[in-house]
Amino acid sequence: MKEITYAQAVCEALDEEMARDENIVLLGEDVGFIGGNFKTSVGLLEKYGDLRVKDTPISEAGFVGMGVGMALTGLRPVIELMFSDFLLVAADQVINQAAKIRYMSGGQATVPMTIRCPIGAGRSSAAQHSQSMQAMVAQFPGIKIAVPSTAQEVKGLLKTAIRDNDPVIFFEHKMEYNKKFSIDDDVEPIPFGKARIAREGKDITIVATSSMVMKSEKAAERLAKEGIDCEVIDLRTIVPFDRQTVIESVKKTGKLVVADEAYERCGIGAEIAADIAEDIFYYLDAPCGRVANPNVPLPFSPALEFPLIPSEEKVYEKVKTYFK
Amino acid sequence: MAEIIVMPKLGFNMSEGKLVNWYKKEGESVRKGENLFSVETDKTNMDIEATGDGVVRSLLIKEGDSIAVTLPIAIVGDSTEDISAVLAEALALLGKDSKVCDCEATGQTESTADALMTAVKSDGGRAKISPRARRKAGELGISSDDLCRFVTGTGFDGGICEKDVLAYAASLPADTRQKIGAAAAATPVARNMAAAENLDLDGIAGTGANGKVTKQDIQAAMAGAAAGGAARTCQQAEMNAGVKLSQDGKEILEEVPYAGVRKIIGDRLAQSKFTAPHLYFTQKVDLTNLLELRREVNAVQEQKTSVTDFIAKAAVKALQKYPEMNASLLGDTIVKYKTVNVGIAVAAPGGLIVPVVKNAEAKTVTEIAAVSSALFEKARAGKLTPDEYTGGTFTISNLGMFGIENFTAIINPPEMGILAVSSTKDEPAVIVKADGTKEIAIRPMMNIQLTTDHRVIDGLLAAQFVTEIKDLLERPVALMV
Amino acid sequence: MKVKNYGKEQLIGFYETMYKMRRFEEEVFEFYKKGMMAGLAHLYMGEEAVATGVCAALAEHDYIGSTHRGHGHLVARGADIDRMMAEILGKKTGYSNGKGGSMHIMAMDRGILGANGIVGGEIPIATGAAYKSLYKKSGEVAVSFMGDSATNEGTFHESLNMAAAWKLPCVYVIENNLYGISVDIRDVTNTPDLAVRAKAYDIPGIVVDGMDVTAVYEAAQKAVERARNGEGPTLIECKTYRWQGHHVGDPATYRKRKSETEKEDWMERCPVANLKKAIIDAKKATEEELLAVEEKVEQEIQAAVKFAAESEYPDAAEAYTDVFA
Repeated sequence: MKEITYAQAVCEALDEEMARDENIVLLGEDVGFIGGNFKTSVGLLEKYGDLRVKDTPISEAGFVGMGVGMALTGLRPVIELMFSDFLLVAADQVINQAAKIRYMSGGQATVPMTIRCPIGAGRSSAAQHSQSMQAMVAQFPGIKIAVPSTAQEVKGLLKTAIRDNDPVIFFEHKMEYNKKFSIDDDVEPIPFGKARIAREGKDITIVATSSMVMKSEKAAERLAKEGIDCEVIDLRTIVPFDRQTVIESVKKTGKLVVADEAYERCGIGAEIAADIAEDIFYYLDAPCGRVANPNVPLPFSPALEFPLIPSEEKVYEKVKTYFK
Repeated sequence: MAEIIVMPKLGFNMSEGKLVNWYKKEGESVRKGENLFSVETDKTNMDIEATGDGVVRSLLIKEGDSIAVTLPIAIVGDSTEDISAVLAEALALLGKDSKVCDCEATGQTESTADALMTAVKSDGGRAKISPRARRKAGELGISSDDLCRFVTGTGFDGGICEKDVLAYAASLPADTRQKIGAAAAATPVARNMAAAENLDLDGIAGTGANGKVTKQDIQAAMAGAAAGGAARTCQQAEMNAGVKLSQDGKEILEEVPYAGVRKIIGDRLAQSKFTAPHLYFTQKVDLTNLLELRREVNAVQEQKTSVTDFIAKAAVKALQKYPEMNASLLGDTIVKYKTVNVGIAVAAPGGLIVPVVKNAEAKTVTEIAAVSSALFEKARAGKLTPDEYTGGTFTISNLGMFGIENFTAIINPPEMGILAVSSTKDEPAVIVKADGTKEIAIRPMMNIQLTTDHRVIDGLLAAQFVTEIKDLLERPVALMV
Repeated sequence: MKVKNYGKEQLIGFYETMYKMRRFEEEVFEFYKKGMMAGLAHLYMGEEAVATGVCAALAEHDYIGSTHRGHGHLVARGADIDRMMAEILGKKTGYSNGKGGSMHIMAMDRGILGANGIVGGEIPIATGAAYKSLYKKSGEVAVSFMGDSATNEGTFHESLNMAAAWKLPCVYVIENNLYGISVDIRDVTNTPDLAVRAKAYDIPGIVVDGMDVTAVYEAAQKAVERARNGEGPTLIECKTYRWQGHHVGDPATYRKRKSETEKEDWMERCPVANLKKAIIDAKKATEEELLAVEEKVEQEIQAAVKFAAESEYPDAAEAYTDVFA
């Protein structure tokens, strides 16, 4: 075991994969000389040269589209979008091209491209740099969606994303980058579509993504002291969705809260709640609940922003409504 | 015009009734005054008559169902009229979209679970039962009606959740529980002991709170386990011989379920006997004057009086003088009543029953006689309404007509006392004359024995009270004024 | 048309390809009119010299990115016309088992990175393929075909900018047929020639007659050579014209706004007929020899038509496959 930051875990995953497979090429704004806006590719330019670690102009549609072309012709590009909000600038290449090419080609072509981008509010970055876009892109068939939690998970899941033959959008949480985590010395790829039981419990199931996993675990610790035994599931990937693990847990607890930082409307919580209600309605002992970003843009002022952010406290309060 | 027949409220405290018997099937005609159905309340069965002529168009509950009072149970109307609107109204009141009777046919517990009672815990007409609770209730064969009536929701927004269903199931009697496969309620210690000894909790009667199986129950079950081998041998013998034998080899004449009214009476008496420390006081009463007075009274008026009526009047007067005896112990409060409601025990077809002469403090002996004779007649016909056999403050049990010399009675809780009246017999009695001399004479003598609850009543008071009754009965003119 | 500099075999090759494209599109048109083709048919008739000239300059392993008007590009790259026609009819024997259709035919075995339904969508994709060639030093050149209107998409600028900055082995070919659906490029763009935009990236910008296969071929050859030599991308603008409207069913009334005879004038310059005439005039081949080519092509076309018409539609359950690898 060792202690590293979440950003270093990203770096290590990239480094180890690039060392393993010369077809892996990094592309993005500021990924080279300064080692990434969030320091997630430090040292890689020096190690792998400027053809494999490419600082791009600010042309998101352009370099994501290039990633598609690279992936179609045998490379495994890893594209960094500085903020997940910028997915919208490159939306055509992500949604109409990368996600659809395999299908439109009748399976002739694959697009093994990873798009990494940070999500999350909390930096007073206001409405265009604070969004969590995982729910929006999860709508589209043909893209896999990873929402890792801890540094260990980031490292293992990023390796899997890079090795996967489909386009993957890999959502990192920007508020976690500088936090330190304990991590195994060697981290193997973590399979997609297999959720992790972060904490076992019998009273209520909290399905969480990204940093909501850590927040939910902390909330669960508080709730345990009050006799409420929460099961926290780290979803790991939204697509593919580990329906079975969630079903088994909710069959046990009868109650479900989904904690995800994307907007609530048409969000991950709504999706999972609908799945569960369809599959195991008669196991539900209470309505499915959501902890999500309210349906307003993220504001600049900390006084406005922080009250909106899905937090440990919000998970705690939400769960408490089930045990009055 | 079709009429909705409801479960009648047959007493102030009656919240639900069990439909024992439908006298009419759907489609049969019924005349005003004919028995339509019978209802079991907490103490008796009552036949309910039709209040008009018509045809039974729809029976909404089936025999054996319990339902809250005032809710629809049937529709009676003309043979041809369209009852769909009335039926819809009735079903809406029941909170369901189909008749419970139909559920039985399909054996569908889920549709039973859908048949919700709106009377309790409803929210805009829908009972708040979680899907999981419905599912569990369905598995256990517990109707949503029962959930609504008996279960307080502790789940989300006060709804009934699975935990509530399980708690309810565990509170049911063991035999019911076994039938539905619900886990027995047991204390954690008892549960561990049972697991260690490989004992089936369902086979053990719980004596703890809410019928929970306790450590003591387990110990008792373990002590009785030794007899098990012999019992099995006997069962084998029974099968071989075709003769019904008890576990210890006795030939059985008949097995009667300890249930219904018998069980209610028995359980109440046991509760009384083992809760209230009973204290007994006996007096011998000379009835010479009373019998003379009664003769005179009965000679001049149409309403005949019995000795019991005079004893009741004497008790009323004594209770007024000693209100401690006209009281109830309710929790941690002793409530003394000004109202005197005298219950008079009587043997009825279903068992012992105690009709109550209400407001006896305001009644003359003759009035008491009028009320009591009417009540006795109804009791013997099994037609007492719950209001007529509840609410007593003191009870008289007279077995005089059976030649009993002396007996003790068990208090009818939450009352403080009961007077056991034995038979009147001519006996030699020592008479103290006005000049102080004594002589032996033959007198009609009667034993009365007071049982009191020693938690509240001390010996001195009890002695004074029973002596007061004796004095009143021996100088009965006081009873007439 | 400078056919004199070409050998007979090469000229017959040009003619065969262009004639095949023409006949292919005529049959698509027929299918469409008979109601046998669903969706939209964006026909390549009139533009045959562009795809033929460009692709003739490419090597076997090179890449192309195509457009919604892509049938010609695929024929030029030697794609299987049976599977193309089947795909256009939505049959399970098509290149994409009926999932792509006319606008999305891909033929990875021919280096065709896909016809693309999004205007400008293919430009960065082809650019990415060129980046791969650069990084892997694998020698491929990538061609991105695009219509005139795609030059006004952001991806055009973004891609040419990066390709120029990094000297990617890429050739950008504008098929300037004057119209983006109904809008005349001259009404929405200030420069008569679109190739002048190359100046902004400091790369060669060449305007050629898109009705002359030899002119296109020569420009493409230089551009491909330059790309393969690591000198970076070239922008080639081919002036051309589509015989049909934007798609089958578009009456193309807008074409008379500037000149009553615009279409007729362009059709006089038919690249197929004029090439045939030039070959015969230059005595590079006889009319009989070219008729024999036409006959051969006709057989291929009829076989493709038969194959496509007789192929089965895919099973409905097929819709659920090929979403993920």
